[in-house]
Formats: sequence, C-alpha cells, structure tokens
Amino acid sequence: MSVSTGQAGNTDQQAASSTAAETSSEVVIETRGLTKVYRDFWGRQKVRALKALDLQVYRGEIFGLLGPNGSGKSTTIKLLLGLLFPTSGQAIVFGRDATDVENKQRVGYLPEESYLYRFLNAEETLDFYGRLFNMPAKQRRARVAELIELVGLGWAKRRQLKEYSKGMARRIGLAQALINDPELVLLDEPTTGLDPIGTRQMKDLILELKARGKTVLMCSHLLADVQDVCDRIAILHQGELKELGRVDTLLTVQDVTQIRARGLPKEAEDEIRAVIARHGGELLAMEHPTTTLEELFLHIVREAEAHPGRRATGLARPAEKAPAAQ
Amino acid sequence: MVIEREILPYLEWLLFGPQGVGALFVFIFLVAIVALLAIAGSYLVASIRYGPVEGFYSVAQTIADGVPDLVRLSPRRVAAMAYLAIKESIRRKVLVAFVVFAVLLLYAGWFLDVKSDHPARLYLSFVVTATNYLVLLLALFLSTFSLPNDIKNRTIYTIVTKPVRASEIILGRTLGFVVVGSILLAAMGLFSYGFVVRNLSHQHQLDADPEEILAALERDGFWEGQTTLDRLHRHTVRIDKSQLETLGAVTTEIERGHWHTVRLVQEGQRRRFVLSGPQGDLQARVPIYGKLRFLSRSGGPGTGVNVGNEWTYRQYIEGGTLAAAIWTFDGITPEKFPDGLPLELNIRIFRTHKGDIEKGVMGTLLVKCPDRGRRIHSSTPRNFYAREFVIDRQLIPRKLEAIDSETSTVTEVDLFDLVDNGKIEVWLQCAERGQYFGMAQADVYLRAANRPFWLNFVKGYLGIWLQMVLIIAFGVAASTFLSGPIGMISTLGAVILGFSSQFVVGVMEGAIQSNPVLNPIFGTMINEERAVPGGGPIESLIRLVTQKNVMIDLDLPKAAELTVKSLDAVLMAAMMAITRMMPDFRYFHTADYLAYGYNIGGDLIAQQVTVALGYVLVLTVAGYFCLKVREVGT
Repeated sequence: MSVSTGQAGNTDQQAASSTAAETSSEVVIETRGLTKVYRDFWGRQKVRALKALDLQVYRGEIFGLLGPNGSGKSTTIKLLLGLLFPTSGQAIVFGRDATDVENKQRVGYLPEESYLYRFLNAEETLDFYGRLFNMPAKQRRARVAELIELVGLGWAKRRQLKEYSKGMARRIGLAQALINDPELVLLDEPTTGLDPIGTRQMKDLILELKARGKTVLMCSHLLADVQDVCDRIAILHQGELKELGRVDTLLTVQDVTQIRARGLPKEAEDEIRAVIARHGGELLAMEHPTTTLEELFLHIVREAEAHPGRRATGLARPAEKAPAAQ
Repeated sequence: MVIEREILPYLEWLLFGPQGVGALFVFIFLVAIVALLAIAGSYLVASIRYGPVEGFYSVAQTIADGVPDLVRLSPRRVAAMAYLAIKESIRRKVLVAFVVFAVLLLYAGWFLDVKSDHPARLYLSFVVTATNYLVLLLALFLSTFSLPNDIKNRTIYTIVTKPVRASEIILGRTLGFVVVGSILLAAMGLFSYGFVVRNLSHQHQLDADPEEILAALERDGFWEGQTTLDRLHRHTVRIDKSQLETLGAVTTEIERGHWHTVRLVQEGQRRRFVLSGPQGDLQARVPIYGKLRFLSRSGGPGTGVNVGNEWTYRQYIEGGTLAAAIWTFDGITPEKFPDGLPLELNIRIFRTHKGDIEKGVMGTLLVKCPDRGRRIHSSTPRNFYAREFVIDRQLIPRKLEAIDSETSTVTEVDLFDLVDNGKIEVWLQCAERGQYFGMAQADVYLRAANRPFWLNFVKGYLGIWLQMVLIIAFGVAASTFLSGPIGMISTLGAVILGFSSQFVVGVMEGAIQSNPVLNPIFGTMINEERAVPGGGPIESLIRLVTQKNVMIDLDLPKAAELTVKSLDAVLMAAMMAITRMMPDFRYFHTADYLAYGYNIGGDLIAQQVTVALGYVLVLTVAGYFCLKVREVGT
C-alpha cells in the first residue's frame, strides 16, 4: 500500500494506538444538510431516515458512526457511496458528488453483509473485482494473493463462497473492499459475524489502515469496537446527529480518579481509604479488577494454540499466584 | 411455400424502403420520438420531485454524464461483467435447455409423420422451430431475472461501488448472455443438422436382377421399373441406354421431395447398378423472380379470377380460354443460363370438376419475346401437367421450336433469340376447360443457382441468433427498472407484439374503416386486404358477449356505437404506436426458407443484422439511463 499519510497539522493530534499516523485537516468526506426520506411507490413519505446531517471526516482518521438499529448509519454510508440519492443536501467525497464514478477508484466498501457472488470462489471473486478496477492481469494476480494472505483465507481460496461461514464471508468481503488499495474505506458493521479472534484482527487491521494513512469511516452498534479503534465518533439517533467528538475526550469522566496498583498489602489499602477520607473524597470502589471476556477468550485461544491438548488456564489465575493486588 | 415478401436490395432498403422512406430514416425518426418522450417524461418526474429548475438541471446533468459513460467503455470491465453473466448462467443450469432439446429430438420419431410427403421440410421446420422457441425462452429467462436478482441479493452493492459505469453493466450482461446463448445455439444447430441428415439418408436398390435390366437395355434400349421399398416409399426409374451411356447416370423419379441417381458400376466380371443417397431434398435454391401480369379470358389485359378464397393473394385463370399469366424476367443472359431457363412452377389448382386426379391438370407453357415486332417472337406451346403442392421443374432448353409469324411455319431457334434486352416472357395457360390455375408473382421463378445447403442452414440459425440477441437486449433493458417476473412478461409482450405486428395494424385499419367519423379522413390510407373486420378490443368484447360475428352490424344505439368505435380507434392507435416500436420478429424467422429449400439472400441477412444492431444500440442506451437513475441501495 503506497498512499502517503496526510501532513500532520491538527493541534488535537493524539495517537490512539502505537501504530497511529496523523490525521490532517484535509476533508475527505463532507455532508451538508444531508437528508434522506424513503418513499413508497406512490411517492408518499414512509421514513425520514436521515435529517440534515452535517459531518466532516478528515484524511487519516478513523471515524465511527454509532447508533441503535434504524438510526441512519447505513443510510449515511449508502448516500456517501451513491447507492442512494439524497432527498436534499449534498454528500461530497473527495470534493466531488458522491455519485461520481471517478470517486470509486479511491474508495473501498465493506457492506453490512458480504453481498458477494456465491458461485465464485475467493480467488475468482477478488479477480473479478480487480477487473472492475481495470487492473492488468499481472497486478491483479499479485494483489489477489496478497489480500487472501492478509485476511487469512489461503486454505479456502478455491472454495465457492456459498460454502463459506459468515466470518469467512466477512473476511473475503473485506478483501474485496481493499482490492484497489483505497484511500477511503467505508465499513458497515465490520465486526458483525466475526468470532472474537476475527474481531480483534479486524480491529487491528483498521488500525493498520490508519497507520498507512487511510481514512476509515465505520459504523457499528458494538460500542466496544468503536471505542477501541475510532478517533472520532458521531452518535445518530432516529436520523439525527446527537453527539460528535473525539472518543478520548467524550469518554473521560473528569471528576473521577482511578488508581490501579499491584502488590499492595492490606494495610496500604486502609491507608489509602484514610487519605481519601481526609481529602473529603468519596470512595466509590476498591476491588480486584475483572478482565473482559474478550481478553479471557483470546488468552485461552492463544494458550490452546501454544499447548495443544492441555486444558488452558484462565487469564486471572496467573495473577492470583502473585501477591494479592491493592 | 413461396417467398411472399419482396426483399429489397440492402441499400435501397436502407435509404428508400418499399414506400420511399428508407429504414434508416424510420429508425432516426422513431429514436427521436422516443428520446423526446423519454426526456419530457423524466423532466416531469424530476420537476415533481425536485422542483422545475432543479429538475431541469438534474435531467440535463444526467444526459451530459451519459455521453462519456456510453462512449468511454473499458473492455476489461465489460469482459468482467460478461464473465460474471456466463458464470451465473452456468450456475443457473442453462444446460438443461440443451438436455430438453436432445430429449425432444430423441423422441421426435414418435410424433413426426413418417409418411410425410416432404420429410425434409418436416424435419427442418421441426428442428428449427424447436431450437427457436427453446433458445428464445432461455434468453428471456436469463436476461430478465439476472439484474433484479442482483439488486434483490444486494450483490449489486459491491458492483456499483466500484468504478463501473452502468453502460458497462448493461453491455457486459448482454454480451455474457449472448455468449452463453450462442454456444447453446451452436450445439443445438450441430445436433439438428446431424439429426436431419441422418433421418433423411437412406438407400434403395433397383427392384430387379441387374442381368435382366442389362438384357432389357440391350433388347429395347430402355428399362422401366421401380426401386425397392425403403423408408415407406419407392421411386419409379426409367433407364435409357443412350442417356446412361452419354451422362453416365440416370435419375429416378422424384418421390417425397428427393431423387436418387443410378449408375452402372463394373466390379470385376460383374456389372451392377448403384443408387446414390437422396438428392435434392436439402437444397438452397436462388430464385430469380419476374413481374406477373394477367390476361383476361378474352385475351385483353386484365386480372385473374377470385375463386372465393378469402385471401386474395393468388389470382386464377380459367382453362380453355385466352386467359394467361405472364411473367417477365429480366437480366437473362447466355452466361447466366448456358443450358436454358430452369423454371420452377408452384401452381394452385381450382377444379370445378374432378378431372383426372392422378395426372393433374394440363397446362401450356411458352416463351415469348417482349418485342412483338420481331418476325420470330414466340415459341411453340408445350404441355405440362400441373400438380398441386409440388414444385414442378421445367427446363426451357436452348434449342426451341418457334413460330415464324410471316410464314406461320415452325422453325428451330436459340432461346436467346427470343430475349430482348435481357427480357423474356413466360406465358402460362390452363388447357382444360372448367379448371383454373391460381398463381401469384412468386409462384414461378427461375432457379438461378444452388447454394450449399449447410451454408443456408447456418444463415437460418443466424436468424434465430439475432432474435435471441434482440430478446436479451430487451430483457436486460427491461430488468433495469422492472422486477424479474414483470420484466419477463413485458419482454414476452414485446415479442408477441413483434410477431403479430401485421395483425395489430390490420385490426387498427379495420377499426378505422368501420368508424363513420374516421373513415372519411383516413380511409384512403387503409390497405383493404389487410384490414381486419370486427373492430378493436371493446367492440370485440361486446361482440363476444352478445354473440355477434364480425360481419354483422353491432346494433347498438348510434351514440354508443360511435363512442365504442372511437375509443377502440384510440386504443388501437396506442397499441400500434407500441407495435411500431417493436421489431418485427417474423422478419428474422427464416425457418421456412430453410425448410422449403430457398437460399436466404445476403440482402435479407444484411437487413436482419442492421435491424438487430439498431435495436440493441437503442436498448443499451435506454437501459443505461434507467439503471443510472435508479437507486439500487433501497
């Protein structure tokens, strides 16, 4: 992948992960009063799916669209791809109207479900989409091999997609979205249907894309995923924009302080309680942390792969062996 | 069968046409009308949706975008879409159609008449018709369901979000289905060819001992007998010793549309007669047509008689009178016809008494020079027996007996002495009193040449192929804005209208004719023979319910009748407008040429290809705009 990263220029740069690259002030996606009303055959209004959405997405950032089902996330993405036409307002991608064919050279799209041709196998699928980008045969072959490797489907590349599980279909869907090495990637619910390992890989991949200077717009209702990868989010509810901002600032609770320590004896805990009381603070909780189920699951799977045949030990147990925390 | 429609030379057809308006201009005119209607319609819709000014811009923008999209196509992308269509067709088991076809042929023997007088005709029209309908049905299903399925399954999402133009989607799909259809059609064609040839081929023997025949030849100079009975028929043979010696072979009588040649073969000490396989049943004749005029029974210029056939295509001449049918042939040169004029007659007979059924009705045939001033301008009449439903071959030889008009004696002349400026007249008269000969212009022709049958077969299948291409183009265009089943029915409707366009025109003309208001205005433009009585849809319905046949008055109050008839005229005009837009599918149906052994001329094929190309072009453009303005993401 060869697209250069944008110039660092924004003051509120904050790397979300170690692989983060900088976002720039260059606007990749802009919507102006974007409104979509679904009508029935007779032109009667059925649903107002999107109400006057104003958004800007900058080059190099991961932007998350959040919201419950039916809040207008997918509609927004479809409008940005020209799959739908706005009722009013504008959807502008790379400074052009969203329906412009030229845009599509630079855009990758992973639909909500992988709508692919079930009678093709993985290689044929990617080859087909490569042709749609007018890629010469040699380049296409190399790219297809690279992408199949990337999404880890080398073992199933000759199987027809109808035999694929949902997660595998998702992976090949992602591969087709990346076939043209796009500058802008639109991901509609990228982690649905994936197992925890796949979810983690997907998230890593999204961060990797960012590291390569790509712009990512994803929508999801899985809050944890959004929280993990997105730089900025917009929360939609019934077609209206309710919140917009950086994830880290939005999620920081300013009046709560969290202390985490390892190897503290019981007496120290009492001392800390006393200190908090002395400063007039209110102790909200002092407890041993539980890990997330995701962490536990990933740990067990890694263990099982490292030591086949043995029953894996939980993530919390090695911690137990150490002197009690806090 | 005769070829009733005159085929104009290609350029004449393109530029001038039968009524002085060439096909090219009709095409441009129709396209302009359709385009204007489409633009007006879309502006109406757009202005309702976005307001009059925005609507105008959106329509103008769409058209402006369309031009580069339609011109700048990427072959690779079109090929990719075509590949996808092919893969999809294979997955949808199109090969089943071929299996159906093969099964049909396997069991054809059960329902094809083995005793048919023209087995070649029967087999050929059977295979061509079967192939035609199967392929068209297949094309219909493939083309109309593909795109709607893509939209329903949302696989279209991953296509239109790639830099693919709607034109490439349309063209690729059309191309892909055409490839699939072509492969299938080619397979069916090969299979059919084999089927026909195999079913027709058979051998006979002479039904006598060779020694006996040879003895008879030595003794009498000829032998007359029959062949053995094979495939439920036998031929009569007359072996003439001199003919056998000079030509090396004699031919049997024609039976069931074919004959065999008989040769004498020396095998060591023994000599025996060998009969060839069937000949003359699979052929591609190139006819040269003449211009027909009639003489009335008193010998003056006039028309033939209508013997009561509702279809007045043929006219009849009375036997034993001076009534004659005269064909004038043009372009007759010794280079073209070194052996004389090979005439083929296809005469209908109307009998007022039974006569001799076996022999047929006697007629006379003579050739005359159009220049009556010449001293020798007419050959002596020769008799022939006209038989119905059989093509009668008459060779007018180079050496003719002619009448010297000054001395009224018979002299021998060369055929081309009677040719004036390449023109010659062929006169036909019926010799038996009380019997009539019926004929039309195409019933008598010169058989200029024979083309290879297989080539004609390929040309016939080209006609099917073009029909298939048309249906695919229609189907794909319809599927850009209609759902699968609706698209299929619409395409089917277009095809049926296309097949019955003449009828629709006839019904309309009939409706105008019976309308007291419209008839005085448009009555002169009506083709009396084509007009169908009984009125349009509403009148027909009333007649159906009240059980009044089409020939009697409707018997409604005056005002009501006028209303019904006027409504019918409007309906029929609308229907005819639609019909005029549809291709005349019968134009592509050349199965009869094949079956009856006429060569499918280059002009006809060029016209077919041009018509098909024109439609494909327009349908692709129409499909492009329909798909482009469609929101596929809903």
